[in-house]
Formats: sequence, C-alpha cells, structure tokens
Amino acid sequence: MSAIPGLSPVRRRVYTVGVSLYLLAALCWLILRGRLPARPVLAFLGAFLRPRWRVGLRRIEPESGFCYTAPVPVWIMSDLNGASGLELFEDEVRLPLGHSPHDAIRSLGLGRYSHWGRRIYFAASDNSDPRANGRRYRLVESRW
Amino acid sequence: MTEKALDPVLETILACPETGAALTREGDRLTAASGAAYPVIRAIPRFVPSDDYVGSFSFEWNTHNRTQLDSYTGSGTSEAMLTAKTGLGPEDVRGKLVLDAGIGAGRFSDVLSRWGALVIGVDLSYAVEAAQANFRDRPNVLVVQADIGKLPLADESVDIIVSIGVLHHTPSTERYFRALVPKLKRGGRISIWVYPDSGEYAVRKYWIPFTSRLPSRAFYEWCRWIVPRIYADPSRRWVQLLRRLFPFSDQGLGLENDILDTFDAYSPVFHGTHSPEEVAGWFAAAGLSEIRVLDVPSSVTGVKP
Repeated sequence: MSAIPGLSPVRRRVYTVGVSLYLLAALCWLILRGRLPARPVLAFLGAFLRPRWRVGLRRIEPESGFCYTAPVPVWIMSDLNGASGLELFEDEVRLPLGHSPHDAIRSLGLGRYSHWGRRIYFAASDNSDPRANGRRYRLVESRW
Repeated sequence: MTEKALDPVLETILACPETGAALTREGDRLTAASGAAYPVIRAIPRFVPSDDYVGSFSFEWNTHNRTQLDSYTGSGTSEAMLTAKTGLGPEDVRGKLVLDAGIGAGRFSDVLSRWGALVIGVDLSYAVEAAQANFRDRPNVLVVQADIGKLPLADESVDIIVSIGVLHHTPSTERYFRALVPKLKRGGRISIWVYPDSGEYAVRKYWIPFTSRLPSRAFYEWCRWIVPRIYADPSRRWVQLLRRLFPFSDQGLGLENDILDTFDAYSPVFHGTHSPEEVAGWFAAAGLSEIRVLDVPSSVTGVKP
C-alpha cells in the first residue's frame, strides 16, 4: 500500500502543509483552553533560547537489576512531566534506547535509559557497573 | 440470494429492520410483506441509502482493505486481539451464528469465519465493499450494509455478538449497545470493546472536533507523511513531545498499520470513551448475566439469560 493513487506531488504537498498548519492552530487553541498542557511545549521552545545543557554523571547509585541512577537538575524537563531532551553518552557513543520503561532497564539493560523526574535511570551498554567499568557517562540536552 | 454461494442459514437470516418480518428476494431487491424493499448491489444487501456520518471509514477500509487481515499478513495479531477483547476462542464460535457489528474490512470476521462460525458482518460504511471482496470465496460470511442501531435481523436470531472498536463511533455508545442485545438468542453471548476513558483515548477526545472536520484524503495524506518520520527515530525530543500532545498509533504491527490506525483514531465524527465499570453497568442494565470485565480495558462480555 503506497500513497493515495492519482494524487499529484503538488497536491500531496498542499495537503501535508495545510493539515500541519491547521493542526498547529488547533494545538494552540487546545492549549489556550487548558485542554492540553502548555508546559511541555514551552520547555521545548525554551530549549532553543538557552545554551545546551551538558554534564558528566556523578553520584551514580545502584537501583535494581542492571539499573543505576544519578541526579539531574529539577529544571530540566523529564518524561514525567513532558518530553525529556536528554541524551546519554557512554564515552563518545550515544546510547540509543532513551525513554525506556524502567522495568526494561532493570531486567534487560544494554544501554537503555530514562530521564524521569529528578533522576536518570540507566544501564551500561554491556550491563557492567558504571561506577567501575572505567567509562565516562555524560548527559547532553538535544534540542530536537 | 447473492452471487456467491452462501450457507443456507445465511440465505434466510435477514429481516426487515422496521418490522422484523422475513424478506423475500425479488431480482436485485429484498422485499417485505409490508412493501418495503431494499436493494442488493454488488451482492451486498443495502439497508441504508448512504454511509451517513462514517465516510472516513468508507475511505480507510477501501484504502487499507487487507492491512489488518491475518489471512493476508500471515500474522496472528487480529486473532490474539479478538480473543483478548472478547474472551472467545475457536470452540466458542464453531458452528454458531455470529454477528460482527461493525465489520470494517473484516479483520475479525476473517478470524471468526476461519474458526468455523457463520458470520453476518454489518457496517454502515462502504467498508462493506472491501469486506465483500475479502470474503468472496467464503460461503460462511454474509456482508450487509446497515445501521447497527437498526439491524436487519429478527429478535433472538444470533448466537454470539461481537463488536470491537465500533460502538464508540456511533452517536450514543450505550444506546447502540442496547440495540444489539434484542438480536441475541437466550443463552447467547455478547462481547464488546470500546475506548477506555484514559490514556491516549482521553487525549484524542480533545482533537476529534478538529481532526474529524478534515477531508479524509487530506488527513490521510498527512498521516502518511508524519508517521514514517516518527518511525525514523522515535527517541527524538520532538517525537516525544508530539506523542504526548497528539498520541500516534504505535501497535508494533508495522508502518502501514500505524498509518491506518492513526488515521482511524482521529478521523471519525464520534469518539466515545467509557470506563470498564460504566460498560459493565450497561450489561447489567440490559439484563445480561455472567458479566465479566476482561483484562483489556474496556472489554466486557456477558450472557443473555
């Protein structure tokens, strides 16, 4: 199944741009009416107006299974109340499985992580102890 | 009765939706003693003049006529979903007359008919065209275009009723549920699943007044544009934000399914949400017994005593 047969590329573009603008207007309306939360959108937009936040992980503590935690400043938006923009790097490699369920971090590990509330929950890429495996862990805030 | 060979039971099951009287085939029409007549077009008995308020379903099921059919995809996802949302298995339906209220393209009738049931699939939309094409070679499936609030069936004529993901798209979920119960034989089972009043279903409710006004072709094309971009890197921050504000379908059944299901979630005119307790209350008020709330919220099943 591909795109709708007989639809020209120009019309397809008109549809996608037109619907996007319409939905953006609807989103503004729903936020103004208090139906949808404004905070995640403001935090997302705010990330473009300040320097990207980056820091090495400190005070790492074991949590459960393969999962370890470390503190994150409260003013950085997490998945608990919006959409976290933090990416976790192990040495120079970005771990690919952000926004993971915590049970999966504990039981499967393998580089999964989650920014939830004031903490980052994560597992090393090989499920080793991040306090003793000799690697450096740092968080970088992405804008997109 | 139709161009395809039908099981004899299905040949005579239909009744006048106004009076419940038996219908007789006269050429390309079904007629009642009262004089009421209903056309049979492309082998599908039609009890409504149009698809009324469900044009989006006419569009989506004729565009994705086989995307969710197990017998086409080779997966067992629809079968698993049917069992999870109704509590029914092959032994429960074999040889039974089953009403699929809101057949769509036929994903659940596909399973039920393979399990050996005699299936009457009813839909208000022109999805019946897709369903008829999918079941062209199955004599145990009768596809009918009708309003499930005004069914062309005599009272107490079917053994089992299933309605999965349909009743919340009617003007009144409860009233349309109540309209199904009289068609059930005594001892028969009815199982429904409707949108729960939580999670993504609750968020989508706010969008429906906007998205349901969009032309189907335009909104569908937008879904085809946005969903693959989300798939490309679901961990991106803008995707996470969008998921929270405008929850997309993410059923793990592939890109085509999620494009279809995102369109399906936002395009209908009606989008009722109901707690499991509320639905169980409807079952009790309808005089049903052996009421069970299943694990998938809000799936409920019960028996007519």
